[in-house]
Amino acid sequence: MVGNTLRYAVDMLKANMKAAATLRGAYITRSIFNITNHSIYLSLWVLIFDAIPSIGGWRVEHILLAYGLGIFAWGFLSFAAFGIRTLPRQIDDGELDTYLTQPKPVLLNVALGTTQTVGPPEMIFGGVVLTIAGVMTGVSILMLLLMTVCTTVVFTSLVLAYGSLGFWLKGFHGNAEEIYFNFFIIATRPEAVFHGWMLVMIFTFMPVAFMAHVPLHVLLDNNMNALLLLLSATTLIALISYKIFKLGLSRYESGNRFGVRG
Amino acid sequence: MLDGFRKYYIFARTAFRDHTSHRMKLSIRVVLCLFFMFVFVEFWRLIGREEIVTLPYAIIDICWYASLTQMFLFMSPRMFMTIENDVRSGDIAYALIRPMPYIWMRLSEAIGAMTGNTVIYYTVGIAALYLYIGGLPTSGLSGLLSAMFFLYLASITHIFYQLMCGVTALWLQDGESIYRIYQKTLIVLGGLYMPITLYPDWVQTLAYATPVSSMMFAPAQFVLGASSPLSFMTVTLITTFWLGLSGLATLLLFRICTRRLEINGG
Repeated sequence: MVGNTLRYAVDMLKANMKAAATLRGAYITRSIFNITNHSIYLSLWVLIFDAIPSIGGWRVEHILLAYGLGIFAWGFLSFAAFGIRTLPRQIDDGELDTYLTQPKPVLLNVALGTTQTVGPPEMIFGGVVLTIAGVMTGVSILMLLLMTVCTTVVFTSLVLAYGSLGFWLKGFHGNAEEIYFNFFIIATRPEAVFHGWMLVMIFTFMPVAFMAHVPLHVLLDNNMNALLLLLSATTLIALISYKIFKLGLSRYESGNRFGVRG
Repeated sequence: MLDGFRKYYIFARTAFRDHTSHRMKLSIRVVLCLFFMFVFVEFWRLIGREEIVTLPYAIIDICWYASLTQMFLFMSPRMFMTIENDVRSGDIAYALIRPMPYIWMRLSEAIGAMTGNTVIYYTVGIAALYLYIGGLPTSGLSGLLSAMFFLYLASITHIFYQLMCGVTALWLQDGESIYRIYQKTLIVLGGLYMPITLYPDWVQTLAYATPVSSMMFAPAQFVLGASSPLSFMTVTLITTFWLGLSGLATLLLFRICTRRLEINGG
């Protein structure tokens, strides 16, 4: 059962890769645009740290680590689970109908049903940024890999949880995209900026602290308590997000748009 | 002539009403914007508390500056996505045969929606900022009102760039990638996080040579008090110049792209 599902997921990923490979020109153009986009944004932090050497104890290498983790997670989501990002739109258009009749898990079909070709270049870019930051800080490669997995799971879960609000809110897609992007931005801001009610927010309602702030404590301070907290929080966030999705799915009312998916 | 403007006005008015009727969406966006503005305020308060560098501006002024530039990003609707969707769905073919230029129709809609946003952000947002920061910028109400006036005009220039990014979808089938590059250039050279006067000289020179600094830094610097580097007249001139030039560039790009669409047959 699990083996079949895994094989199905791998086949879907292969199909997504093939789809990307057929539009080679567009793929290369978008990849160049995307990497330019991230490079410009990273240059902003270089400029900021040129003017202000340290912000709340964070320096360029902290930003590089946080940004690298975030951009890898974003790239992975765009490539391997882009359907989760477009969930509100799929709900509005009644596109989940076809998945409900299929024997495979609905969430798997939703996630892998569509892809964005810029995903792999973003993952590579994230990897390069993480490598540079890793060399600068001398962190353990194994820990860095583990943190990348945790950040990816947390971010994907957050996108699933907030995207599932589309089951209750019509026309939520635009807002949802803005929320995802802003999660990514908040996660890459120095931790010391957040205190009081803001700190509560980034650990509870929008737990972006587990995307970069806590992983940075694990990596740079070798803080085992932070690692335990992160692993527990990652599991809990994933479970809660799935629960929200299932809850929304149980009240899902299909649209009346006629369409064939094949 | 008046009839011509009237139809655009009707599109803008309809977009204004449509935009402000989606209360839930608007509320979420406003809450997000407030959260981000407060994060910026805390960001600069932290820098002020640490005293690692001596800033040429009062912290309260920089907090207002960064919050207003953040608000600017939230004020405009995401028009590039509307155009991209029109292109991808093929709906643009129906819009192009209407007896009014498609690009001006979308501009009118965007201005209508943006005006709806402006009313909300300039009331709720400014009041919330006043309470959170704990007072007006040192330039007082006149500085704040000047900034708000020019940020509104700059938002129209921002819409022109969004239209241009959207129109490129006729060519590249994708407007978002170019928009993201434009957005990041706006964030960096426009001075979203900090006034561009704090950048190295060569970056400042580069920023002043681009329209993006006229869209965020030039209007928002009015809240930087006596240290604000640009006068009211200078900001009026550069805003008008870039607004006009961006409008012309939008029209030109649209003509080039639609000609290509007609030749290719869509």
